[in-house]
Amino acid sequence: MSYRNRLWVGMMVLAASQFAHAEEFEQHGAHVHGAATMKLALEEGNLVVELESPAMNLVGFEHAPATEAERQQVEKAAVLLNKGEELFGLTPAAGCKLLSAEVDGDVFEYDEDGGKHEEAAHDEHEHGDDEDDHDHHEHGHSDIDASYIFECGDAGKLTAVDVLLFKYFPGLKDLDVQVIGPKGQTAIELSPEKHQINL
Amino acid sequence: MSIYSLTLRSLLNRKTTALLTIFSIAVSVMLLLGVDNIRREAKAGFANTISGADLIVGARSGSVQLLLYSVFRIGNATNNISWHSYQEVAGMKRVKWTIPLSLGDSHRGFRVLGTNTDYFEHFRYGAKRELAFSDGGRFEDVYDAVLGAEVAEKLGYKLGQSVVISHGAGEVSFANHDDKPFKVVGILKKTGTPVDRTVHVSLEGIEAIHLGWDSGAPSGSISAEQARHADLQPKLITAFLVGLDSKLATFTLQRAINNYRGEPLLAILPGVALQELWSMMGVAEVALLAVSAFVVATGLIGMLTVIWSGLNERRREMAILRSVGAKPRHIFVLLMIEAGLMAVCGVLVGVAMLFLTLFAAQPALESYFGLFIGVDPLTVDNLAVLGGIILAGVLIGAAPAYRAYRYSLADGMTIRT
Repeated sequence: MSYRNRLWVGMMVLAASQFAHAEEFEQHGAHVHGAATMKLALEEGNLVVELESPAMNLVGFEHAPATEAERQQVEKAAVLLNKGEELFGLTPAAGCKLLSAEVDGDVFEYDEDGGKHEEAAHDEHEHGDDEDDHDHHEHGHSDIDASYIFECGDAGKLTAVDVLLFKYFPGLKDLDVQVIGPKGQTAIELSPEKHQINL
Repeated sequence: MSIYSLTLRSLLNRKTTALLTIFSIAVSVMLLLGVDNIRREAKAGFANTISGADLIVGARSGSVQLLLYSVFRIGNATNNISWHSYQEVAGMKRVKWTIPLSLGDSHRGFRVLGTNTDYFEHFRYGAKRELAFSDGGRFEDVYDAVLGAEVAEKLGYKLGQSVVISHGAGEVSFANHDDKPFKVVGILKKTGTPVDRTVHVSLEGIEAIHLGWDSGAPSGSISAEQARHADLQPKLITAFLVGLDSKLATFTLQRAINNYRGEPLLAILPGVALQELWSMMGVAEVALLAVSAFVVATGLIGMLTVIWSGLNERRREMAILRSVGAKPRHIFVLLMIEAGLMAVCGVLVGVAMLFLTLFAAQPALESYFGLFIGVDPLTVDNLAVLGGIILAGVLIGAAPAYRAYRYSLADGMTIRT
C-alpha cells in the first residue's frame, strides 16, 4: 500500500472536528469498569477498528503511574495495544496487514523521569485540540482509546475477526461491538467466552 | 392384513376421538410454527424498512426511541432539533446526502411527514430499493402532497384530491389546518414499510400551515396565498437521515455529532439500534416460544390421556387380536404406531392449517395493523422441531403400549375382570 493510499484512508477515517461552536453545555460520557466499546468498519479492503475502554480494564488503574511497577504496567499495556495483528485474529486468507495503530490515554501521559506529574499531564491534556477527549477527566476516571487500520488484499475472504483482547487483558469482561460490514450494520456483545465476530 | 392397516382400521373405529386428538395436536403445532413465522417476519419487516442510511440524527434520547419515531413512526420525539444544527451536520465532510424529517401532524390517522425532494432521491428500503411512483410525481409546490400506497388505497384518494392536514397525531383532531388544503400530486408504489402509511409534504408546507400558530391554535389571520410569500424556511425539524461517502467514516462522524456542542444531538447507526431493539424483545420472544412449546406438550399429553383411558375399553379388541394369533409384542407395536400416526397427522394438519390461516389473515393483518406478514416456507429448524414432536408422540405411545402389552399377557384370549 502506497503512502498516498494510506493518507486517503486516514482522511476517510478522520471526518474532522468541524464545529466552530463555543461550548454551550457540558457532556459526560459513560464509564463502566469491566465494560468497553469497540467499533469495526470494513469497506473496500480497509478495516478500521476503534477501541474505547476505561483504563481500569487494560492497566488496572486510572491515574498517572506513580510507582515503578505501575509504570511498567502501563508500558506493557502500551506495547500490547500497539500490536494490532496480535489483538485481532483476522482470517489469514484475507491477507490483512496492520497499517497503523494509535493508542491514546491519560495514563500514558507521564514524565519519563519518573516523577509524579499528574498536574502537568492534566494541564496539557485539557488544552489538547482533540474534541473527543472531553469525557476523560471527569470524576477522576480516564479512558484509553486505540484505533487500528488494516488493509486486506482480499477482503472478501475476511469472514471473522477473533478479538484476542480478552486474553491479554483479563480486566476486560464485556465488549460491546458495533459492526459495519458487507452485510450492513449490526451490534454484537463479546465476552471472554465468546470473542469472535462473524462478518 | 398388515399391522399398519390394522392400526388404521382400529383408529377409524374410534374416529371421533382420534380426530379430536389429531386436531388438538394440529392446533398446538400451528401455534408454535405461527409464533415462529410471525417473529421472523416481523424482524425482516423491521430490517427492510430502512437501508442505505448510515446514521439517523435526532434530539438526544435513546437510540431505540429515535429509531422508532423517525423511521417507524412509532411514538413521538422528545425534542426537535434546530435547522441550524441540521445544516452544520449536513455540511460536514464525508456527508453525501441528508434527508430532513419533520413529524407531528396527521391526516385521518396517517402521519404527515415534512421532508424535501432528497427523500425521493436517497431514501432506500428493503434491498436498497428506491421509492417509485404508481401515479404522479414528487411534490414541487408548497401545498403539494405525495401519498403512501396504503393512504391512497384506504381513503380512495386520486391525484388532484384536496387533503386537509390535522394538527397533532390523533385519529380525530379538533384543530385542522383547513384553511390551507394540500393537493395530491403523487402516489407512491407499495413498499411494505411505514412509507405506505405516510402523507409526504414539503418542509415549507409544514411551515406554512403552522404560520400564526404560535399559541398552539390557529389565529386565522394568514391565508394560504399570504403564507406562500412568508419566510418558509423551517426553524426546527424532528430528525434527519445521513448517508456518507465512506462507511469507514461512520463512527467518526457519529462521534462528532454526539459531541456537537451547539445542541444535544444523538446520532445512531440504524442497524445497531435495531439490534438493540431485538435484544430487548428477545425475552418476550423466548417467552412466546416457550408458551407455544408448552401448548404442544399439552397436545401430546392429551393424546396420551386418550389412548390410555381407551385401553380398558379395548381389552376385548386386544383379546380378539390375540385369539387370531397376535403376540403381545404385536399389541405393543400396534399402539406405538397408533400414537405415531396421530402425531404425524397432527403435525401435517397443523402445518396445513398454519399456511391456510396465514394466507387468510394476511390481508386483514396488513390493513388493520399495517403489518405485512409474509408466509415463509418451513425452515430447517422448523422441520427439526416437527420431527421432534413426532418422535415425542411415538415415545409417549410407549407408555400405553406397555400397559396394553401387560394386559394382553395377563388376559390372554379372554378378559378376566
